[in-house]
Formats: sequence, C-alpha cells, structure tokens
Amino acid sequence: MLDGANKVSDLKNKVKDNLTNKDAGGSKNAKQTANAIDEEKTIDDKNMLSFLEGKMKEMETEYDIIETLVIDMGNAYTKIGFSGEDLPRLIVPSIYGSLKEDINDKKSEILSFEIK
Amino acid sequence: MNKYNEKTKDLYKLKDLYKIQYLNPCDHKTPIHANFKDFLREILENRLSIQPNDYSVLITGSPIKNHDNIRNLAQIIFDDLQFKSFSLINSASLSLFSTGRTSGLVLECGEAKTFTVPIFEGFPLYHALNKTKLGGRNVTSLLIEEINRSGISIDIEEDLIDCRLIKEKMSVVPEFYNMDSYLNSSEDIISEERMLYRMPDSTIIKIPKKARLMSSELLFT
Repeated sequence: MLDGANKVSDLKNKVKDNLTNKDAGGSKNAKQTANAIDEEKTIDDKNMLSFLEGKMKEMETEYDIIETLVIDMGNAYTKIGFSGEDLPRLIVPSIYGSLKEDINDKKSEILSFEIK
Repeated sequence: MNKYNEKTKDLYKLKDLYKIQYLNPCDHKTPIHANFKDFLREILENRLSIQPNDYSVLITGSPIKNHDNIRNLAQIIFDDLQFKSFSLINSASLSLFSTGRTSGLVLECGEAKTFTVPIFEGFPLYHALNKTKLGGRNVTSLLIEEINRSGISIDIEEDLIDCRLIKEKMSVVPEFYNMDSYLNSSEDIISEERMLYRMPDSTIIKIPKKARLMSSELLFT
C-alpha cells in the first residue's frame, strides 16, 4: 500500500517540477515526463490488481477480527454469533430440561439441540 | 429421513425423565431464570469452545426495558461468566442499522409479541411505541386447533417444537384471501401430496386445507 502511495506522490512532484520549469526550460522536459507518466501508468495497471487484492485481504482481516460475541435471545430461539460475520454460528431453541421430582435428585441438565 | 427425526427419537426417550420448560430470558415481565447461566455456559464451552474472558458481548433486548432484569443479566455476565464488557441494545434499532438507515419505522414480529417502533437517529421514541400480544405462537396454536378438530390429537405444550415445524412447512399465505372460493373451487390449489406430513414417529398425517390457509391469516386481519 505504501509503494502505491509513494508512486503517486512521486508522479505529482514530477508534474509540478515540469510545470514550474516549463516557462524557463524547453518542451523536451514535458515530453520526457509524458513518456515517464505513460510507463508508470502501465506499471501501475499491472500492479493495481495485486495492490487491490492485497488491500482486500487486509480489509477482510480487519473486519473479520473476532472481537465481540453477539447474542440474540428470543422467546423461541437464541441466536449466537460473532461480529463481522454474515450469519449466526448457532441457532438453538431456548429450552431447558430439568429432571422430574419422582426420579432421584440428580443435577438438572440442559437439553439443547440444533435444527438444520 | 431427516436428521431431526433421529434426534427427536432420542429426546422422546428422555421425555419421561425430563420436564421440559421454555426460557424467555429477556421478557420484561418474568425475571431471568436461574438456569439461564447454565444454558449460556453450555453453549459457550461445549458448542463454540470459547473462553468468555477473551470476548466482549452484545446482547439484543426488547424495546421495553426492565431494570431489575438488566441488573440480573449483568450479574450473570460479569460475575458468573466473566466477560470483558457488555452492552444491551434494542433489536429494533439494530435491524434498522442493518439496512443502512438510522431513522425509520420498524415492525418486529416475534414469537409472543409484535412491536411497532419508530426510531429517530438510532433512538426509539418510547411514547409512540405500540405493542400487541399477537405472535408466532398464536399462529401455531390456531393451526393445531384446526388439526385437532379434524380428529388428530396433538398437544401444543408437550410438543411445541414439532408443532412449530408443522407450521413452518405446511402453512400458506394466499395472495387474495377468500375462504369460500378456495374451499369450494373444483381446482386443487393445494395438491394432496403436499397435504401429507410425516411426524417424527413416522406416522403420516393429512392436514386439512382450511387449517393451512386460516392460520397465517391471523396476523393480517
């Protein structure tokens, strides 16, 4: 990303120099810079794809960093997922089961299962 | 056969042992149940395999708030589960943000209630909030009443999940509702193959045409 930014700034400086030298100097400088700009453009177009791909990867990694857990607790289903993702990881019916009193006093366990 | 059926068969075996109850943790009337923290811990540790120390939590709540409930929820999250940080935001305003807007009118149709919430710049206007006690559960109960009238007995309270699945698969919303024309028409709008439903114990039920059409109409009239 820094390389691309540097190239753009270099080009801008070159054009500025040419504009300032135009009055004093001849047209040679202008032609040279024009050629230079064309060459740079072709290089940029080639580099642009790789540059964009790199940037997209950066963005993906930036926005997919798992930081917060999102919990949506409804009456019917609870939905749990991570921020930055498109869909919840788990959709679980909000139910719990406790043992009936007739059977021995075991600890209550939770019955939860997914529906696909 | 579905995967669901195999799992439910196992559950049916357990049914004699367990008393199944339903959580509604963010309901503004009832307090948060004591088993709620076990429910969350079960999901976090066994399903997602997460240590809650590393994460902060966003929890969605109903637009009507009860401060005692929020205090209990914060107690569970900080003391028992030990999350980093915690915030509780309206589900209505969050769903509006997902469309890219900050102000608008949200209709939120849930399992037990429906809300109409006007939101301005991200904050709900509480004086203009409307609540009705119609929801998805009323639709299922209406559908299962109609099925019970045709001679098949299903209990809603015992098999609520099965009833929900019947609703999700079988109920229909017709484009132009006119009950008599649907019932008396010679053309079969719904073919007979589609009226059959396989229950988890592999018995096949024929669900009447009236039940399929009537139930969803509750929300529109």
